[in-house]
Amino acid sequence: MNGGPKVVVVGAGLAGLTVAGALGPSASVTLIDRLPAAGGVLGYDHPAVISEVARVRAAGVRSLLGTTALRWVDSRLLVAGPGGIEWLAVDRLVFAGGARPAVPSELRLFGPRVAGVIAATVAVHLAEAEVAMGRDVCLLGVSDWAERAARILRHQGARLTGVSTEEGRPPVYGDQWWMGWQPVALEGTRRVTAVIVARGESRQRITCDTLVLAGDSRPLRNVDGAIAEGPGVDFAQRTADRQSIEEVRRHSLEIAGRIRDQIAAR
Amino acid sequence: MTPRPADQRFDVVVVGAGVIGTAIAARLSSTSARVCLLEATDDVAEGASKGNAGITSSYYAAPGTLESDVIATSYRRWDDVCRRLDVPFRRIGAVMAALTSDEADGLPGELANAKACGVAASIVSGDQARRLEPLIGPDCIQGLVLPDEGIIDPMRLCVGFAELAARNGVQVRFDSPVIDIESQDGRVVAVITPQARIETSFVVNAAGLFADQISELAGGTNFKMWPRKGEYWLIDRDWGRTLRHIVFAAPLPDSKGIHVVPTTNGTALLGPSVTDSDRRYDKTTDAEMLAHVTEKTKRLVPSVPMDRAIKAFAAIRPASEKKVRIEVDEVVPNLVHAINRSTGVSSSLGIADRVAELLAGAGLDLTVRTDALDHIPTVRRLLLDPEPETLAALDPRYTQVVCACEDVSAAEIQAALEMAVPARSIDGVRKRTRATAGRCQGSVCMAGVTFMCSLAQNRAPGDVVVTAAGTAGA
Repeated sequence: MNGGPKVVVVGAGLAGLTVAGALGPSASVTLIDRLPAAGGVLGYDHPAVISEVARVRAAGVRSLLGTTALRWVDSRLLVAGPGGIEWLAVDRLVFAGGARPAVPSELRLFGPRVAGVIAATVAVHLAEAEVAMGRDVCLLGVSDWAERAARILRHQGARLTGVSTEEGRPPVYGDQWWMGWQPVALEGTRRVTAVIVARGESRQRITCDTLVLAGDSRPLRNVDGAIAEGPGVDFAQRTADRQSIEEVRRHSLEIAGRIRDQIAAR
Repeated sequence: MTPRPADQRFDVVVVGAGVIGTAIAARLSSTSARVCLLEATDDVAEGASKGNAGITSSYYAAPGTLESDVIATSYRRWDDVCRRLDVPFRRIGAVMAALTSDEADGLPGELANAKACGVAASIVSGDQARRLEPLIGPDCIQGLVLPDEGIIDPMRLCVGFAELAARNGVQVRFDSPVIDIESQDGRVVAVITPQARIETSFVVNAAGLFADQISELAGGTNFKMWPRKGEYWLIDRDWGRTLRHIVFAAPLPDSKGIHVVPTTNGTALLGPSVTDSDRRYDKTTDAEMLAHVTEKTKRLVPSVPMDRAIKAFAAIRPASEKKVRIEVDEVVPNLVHAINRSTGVSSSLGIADRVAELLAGAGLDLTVRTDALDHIPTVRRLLLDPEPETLAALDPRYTQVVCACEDVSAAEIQAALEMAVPARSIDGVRKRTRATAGRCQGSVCMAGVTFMCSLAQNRAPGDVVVTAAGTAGA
């Protein structure tokens, strides 16, 4: 729809695609993604992505791929992409920018500042570029990232020890898992040499030469002015370390429905 | 500018590329002196100059002391110097908030000291303090307002000083720890690094925490430096930007206060704690110490959202028996010490001038060159630029945003990799651009920055250095 309120959806993963497709008929929707292809973590060729992309096209949504949303100020959104750097007039912003693993300060993981502590998202990219990450890797968290990192690091020949605060059955990837343990501190002088984990009063020391942060996922927030909840801004991002495609879709449709109702009420 | 030929013979070797060493190198670079700046690590600002609150104090120490003198000769010049050296700086002012009647009793003494240093200051009521800085909490009963305090990016200051020095012909050498110093007839004649023997007429000791070791190698005065660790929290920009002033706790005789400091990029720093130790490389953070910082901060500024903490870190300041040591060595006449415990950034301009005077007094020719540069090129930044829509025409790489948290474009990272004193590690890129320094701490962009470093430095991604401590891979 070309008339109606101007909505920008930032993030063309499954969540952003679903919201954009659902809002397309009742608003003037622009879909933005940093990467030059839709799909987000699922990838452009995932069946769920392919069908949502078709729906988005049919709904007349305008796509700006390879474009980063920078700032949200007074109903204007600053974007940078192949078309240059420009301000878009926007009535509502829906941020669906995905998630990232928690960083050490969010995990309250203290200790020395050492090399070899790396987010799973980065570890996967570097390992794909054939950077040898380590021989003795500790994975923090049970998540899609942990699984992807485990697969590629295993391929490099690393030994993998997992730590998860969750109880229950350990994942199938990884050589050994510490389920129900909380990482509390790092050790090392230059490079990380160990992670201290705690359970009640017990403490254990897990030796490693690389620590991959892969859990306790946090929503990415990187549009200035739209970091926290505020008027005109909605967030459609996953809320758990593992979420099924159906859960993501349902959550996104809920958000789109709420926005559509608000638009209609005006 | 006439580049001087590379040689192994200098008038002055400055040891240490922290804020004091780089300020001295920049100061001397406008003169006829041939200068070499030696740094043990792989970049500028690897010690106390990296881990500090980024404050340019107008007033810190009692009047009539060397420390207050060098701060006084520095603080009015920041607006001009930072414009010339492409350093973020804002003179936002500070409020020292007294929370108890004991603390309030100390404010008149602070006021008198500030005035005696020639610094603008006034005492206000708790309500007036809150009107000036609405984030100050209800416990504040009185405040001392210091309008000339400023905030600065201390790492960019070191980069700016070093860049100016290098462009004026100073040789800047990294990975060059001083392992020996040769003397003859009681004078230093050469400085030895693993790579070179460097003959020199003068040595300036700006080695901070390691200055005692340099003095010892030179056969100079025996003194001791020790690390004073301070732990900080860094809070995200969406809250940090609402803080408009520096908020100091009122100092008590037995304890230095906690500060709440907006940074030039909009985040806020809380801290520091204080721990003296004997481990010079110990930057361990400690849950208990950081909880103490949180508790103290919440009394000053109750709304601080600890769930928006993006980083906790420990910084090491160089402590010594003498707070400030800027003098010709008592034993070695061509060794000049330039060491400050805590106010290094705030006093760096004044220290550089004083060191130049000491060198001139000891016989060094410091004829002013007419061809010396007084500024470095400004790199426009996507995050802070008032007209970002004009940047794409300047360089299309501004449209490629690499670090989305801090809005750092490929153009800015490329500039950092191509300057006269370029980034040589991911940390080096972070110091110069803030890429990887945001709320996701590089979870998204660190791979991209690694690949840009890899291309610029012509090395495999696995060989790209992350921090002075090593590479990403093992």
